[in-house]
Amino acid sequence: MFRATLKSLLARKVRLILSGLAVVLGVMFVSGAFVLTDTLGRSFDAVFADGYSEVDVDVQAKPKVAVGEAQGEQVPTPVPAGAVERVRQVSGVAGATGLVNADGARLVGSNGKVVTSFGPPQLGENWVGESDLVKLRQGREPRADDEIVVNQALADAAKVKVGDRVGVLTLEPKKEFTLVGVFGYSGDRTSIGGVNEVAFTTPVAQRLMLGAPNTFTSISVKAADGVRAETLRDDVGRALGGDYQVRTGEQAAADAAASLKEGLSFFNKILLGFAGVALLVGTFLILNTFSIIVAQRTRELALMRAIGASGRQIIGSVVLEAIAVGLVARSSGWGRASASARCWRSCSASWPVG
Amino acid sequence: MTATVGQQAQAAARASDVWKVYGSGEAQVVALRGVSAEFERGRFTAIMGPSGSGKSTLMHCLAGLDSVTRGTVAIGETTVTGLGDSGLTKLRRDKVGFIFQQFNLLPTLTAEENILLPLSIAGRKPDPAWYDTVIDTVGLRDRLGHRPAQLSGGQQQRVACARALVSRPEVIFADEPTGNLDSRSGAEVLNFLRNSVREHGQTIVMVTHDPTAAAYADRVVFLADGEIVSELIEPTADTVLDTMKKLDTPAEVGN
Repeated sequence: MFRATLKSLLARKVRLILSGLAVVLGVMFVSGAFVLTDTLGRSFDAVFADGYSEVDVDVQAKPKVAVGEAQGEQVPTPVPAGAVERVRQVSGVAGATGLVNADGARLVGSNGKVVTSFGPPQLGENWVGESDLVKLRQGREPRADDEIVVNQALADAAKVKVGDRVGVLTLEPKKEFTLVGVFGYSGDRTSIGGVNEVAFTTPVAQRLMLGAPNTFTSISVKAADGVRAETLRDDVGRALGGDYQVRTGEQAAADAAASLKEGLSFFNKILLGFAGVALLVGTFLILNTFSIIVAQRTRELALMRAIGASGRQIIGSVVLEAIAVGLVARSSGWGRASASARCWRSCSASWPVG
Repeated sequence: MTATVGQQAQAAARASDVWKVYGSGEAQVVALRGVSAEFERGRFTAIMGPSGSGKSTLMHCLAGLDSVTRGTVAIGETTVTGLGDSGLTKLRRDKVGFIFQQFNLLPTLTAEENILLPLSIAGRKPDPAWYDTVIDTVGLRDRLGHRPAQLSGGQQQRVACARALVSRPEVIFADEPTGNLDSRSGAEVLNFLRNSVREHGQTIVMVTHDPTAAAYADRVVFLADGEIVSELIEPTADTVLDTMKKLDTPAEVGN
């Protein structure tokens, strides 16, 4: 009986293609959504781990209103310049740098059009010098108010070179700057996760990106040799009082990744919604094809009954057929899903600069 | 009229006052009107009659493929009437074999797999000696690995016969087994059926409308309008034909 079912299944592969296809599509959608969001999530983890690799302790002002990633952008509360001085006084601190860092610095390319991004932010920041992570590849750091440096990915996308006059759109209307340098990252990378960066001098960055002089987005604290980041975090926290959020670099990276992943899970839900619709439609398709298949097999099944098959054996043979189709189509759908998710990701990685 | 009981032993299949009514109201059709018949063990019986006489219905009722409206049907010592699904399944496995006009082999299985299918469905092993006897009788030893599509009509029907014989059922029901065959292949199959009755004591009930086919049987039962109207023992094609002619002109039957 088992053998007869399998043989009849193999002999009529064509009739299984349609129902198999429906299963393949449904599985593709669901597993593709999961694979995609998971790989994106991992790459964000890596991006933030890199971004905070130079930071022992990170200080930010506590936000006045807590906002999730899915609900909108966090309104940053600026850190006054005085706080930087206070952090420097804490014992165990080797150095404290005020950082300006905000989304919304859009460079005008050589073709006169604004360079756009398909997701990763376009950061405007203050230039705080080279580090193990960040290295100037051409030119020099910005010294005057109308000088900027950009990262390699942005320079490539905008097709600008050192010495060009370029326009930048920020909180204020378009302003002209001289591009004096281009920087890259360790490991020969041109950007971190496709993020475009424009670095101004500190006063310009404060005015253009935060709209207030003498304020910073955060303070990056470097620990003196032999001081543990956790100890330093507690010391700095005590020195500053309750208005500040003080985290180790690792914590800050994890928090930033978590808030982005919250947005990602929203994206995942949308994809799963589509997958649900695909599955629902697929269910009807599968149901329909299977009833056609069973109708076609009526003669065969009736013969089986006449020569002694029990009702249970007949149902078993139909269920077996369904399971076989399901298994084959599932693995095929899963393979296709991971392939297409990988393709989507590699394509999208090259888009942000397009 | 009631068919006479055979001389030897008890009946392999029996119908007592069987009525079969399809539909209801104006669309009501009475296919069988109180048919009583016995089919003796180890004999080859043919059921004949014009189209619509109820011969196929009678066979389906006897074999438990269809339910009866009134009366009882028995195969061997088993009363078929009132059996549940599992009882009918068991009956088909153990007591009944079928040969169809359309052969009804599974196209995806080889001849050998088709022959062994009823046994494998029932989860049994064939008796090797009997299996060899059956294969030799149907003369298919060199064709066992072939698919039905690679066999001629006569060969396919012989595979179907072997399939019915291999589980040694109490009765084999054959529904127009030669209806789709040319006369030579048909004669082969009929000879083979008759031999299995003579040599191995198999019981066969065959429905046919072909007088030549009916002549191979030991006994012919004639049906008309759902009733048994006549029967012949040791028929020949001519006597069968004569009887059939009388049935075709109902006015003469009464005389």
